[in-house]
Amino acid sequence: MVILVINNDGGGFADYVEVADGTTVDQLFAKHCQSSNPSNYLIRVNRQPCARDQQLQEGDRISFTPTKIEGAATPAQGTPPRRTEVTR
Amino acid sequence: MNSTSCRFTRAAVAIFGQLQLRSRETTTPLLPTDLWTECERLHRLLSKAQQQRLRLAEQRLRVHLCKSMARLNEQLATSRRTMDRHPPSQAVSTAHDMLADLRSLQGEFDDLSVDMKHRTITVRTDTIELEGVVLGQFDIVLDWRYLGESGTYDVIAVDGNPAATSEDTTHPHVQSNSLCEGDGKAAIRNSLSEGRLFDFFVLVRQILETYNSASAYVNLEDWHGTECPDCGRTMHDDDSSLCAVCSTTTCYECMTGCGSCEDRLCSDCIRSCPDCDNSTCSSCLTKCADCDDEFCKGCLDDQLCSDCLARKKEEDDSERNPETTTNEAATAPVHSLQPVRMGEAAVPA
Repeated sequence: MVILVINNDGGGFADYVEVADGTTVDQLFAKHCQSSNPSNYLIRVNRQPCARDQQLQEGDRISFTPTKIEGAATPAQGTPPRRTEVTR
Repeated sequence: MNSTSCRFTRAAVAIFGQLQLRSRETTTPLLPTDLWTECERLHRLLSKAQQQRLRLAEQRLRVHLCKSMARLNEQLATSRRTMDRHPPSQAVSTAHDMLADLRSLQGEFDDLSVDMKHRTITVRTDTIELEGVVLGQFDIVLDWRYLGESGTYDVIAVDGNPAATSEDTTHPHVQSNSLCEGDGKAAIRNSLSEGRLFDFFVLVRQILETYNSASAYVNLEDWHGTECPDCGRTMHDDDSSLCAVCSTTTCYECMTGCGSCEDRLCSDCIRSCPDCDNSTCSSCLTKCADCDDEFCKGCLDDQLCSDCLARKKEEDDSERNPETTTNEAATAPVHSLQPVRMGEAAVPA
């Protein structure tokens, strides 16, 4: 079956991958995030929190987002100034 | 369909349209059809010139055609490079995906609003507290008109607790409503270019909930401190002192104690005694009765500085013993007044 896997760690790639029927969230996490600890990630299936042993279904959308992402103090090069005034 | 759901649907369709437009602009370059037409024309003329054996025209047309073919080749290479740089993503969201994103964001954040007029989506985070410093809630405002470009969203403090040293810094990684994404930069860029709204807002929130002390605009340990006007360092209450003269608060290291009264003074108010060079406050300096320069009390003797005192002593001495001075002048050898020069001999008086 084919599911959409979104790994927001590092580059943040999103791609459709072929997985075996009955693959669980835990198994897919181990495959895509190798040595990482699942507790350091927000894991969502179809944008909803899920159990580790939840079996994935055809067409599911699973995302792994690190809970801690370090920001910086230096703006990205070439970042243009804000173009809009946000009125609240 | 209620009004919220209707607004979400309209927003999802608008964002999808915007993304499609942007995608076409960046991934489908224009083909150099004008140059190709020009090449065809020159080729036709060249064939005609060859048939009619017009040698000079054939020569010129050959040069023109070669140049046009080279330009066509360059243009095609540029277009190919553009297409290589922007490969079509396999996971670009559909309007349906975006609608699902918006609905899920309602559960992920307490407050979500869609402004169709200004084309913005705003979510509000929970109160963010990092290492004991309460920074408050933040609004993440995405302007979908510029989706896929950098600088398309703002992070605005709701009930801001900015750093004491910089009002624009509302978070260690937010300055002037702009988030410095650090490690999340690539993931945020990809989520926006692929229209993954849910991922975008979650990524920004996770950055806001993380503190990177190695690269912060203002470190949290200095958040409540104030800037020392003398050295610019951030100082805290237990590390600062009030100047006894002008009441300016500076850090303890920039304060100097008066050598006489032990008051602490800032660099603007501290003075030094011109004689002993010791630090002192202006109220502990006293004018010399003779020269009017100011000295510390220890350097004044009978209200006179050491120079004036020495001069006065010399004058007193000369007044007290005027003969000594006269006799000394009388007994002084003549040659001291008129020295013996070369070829002269000293004559006794």
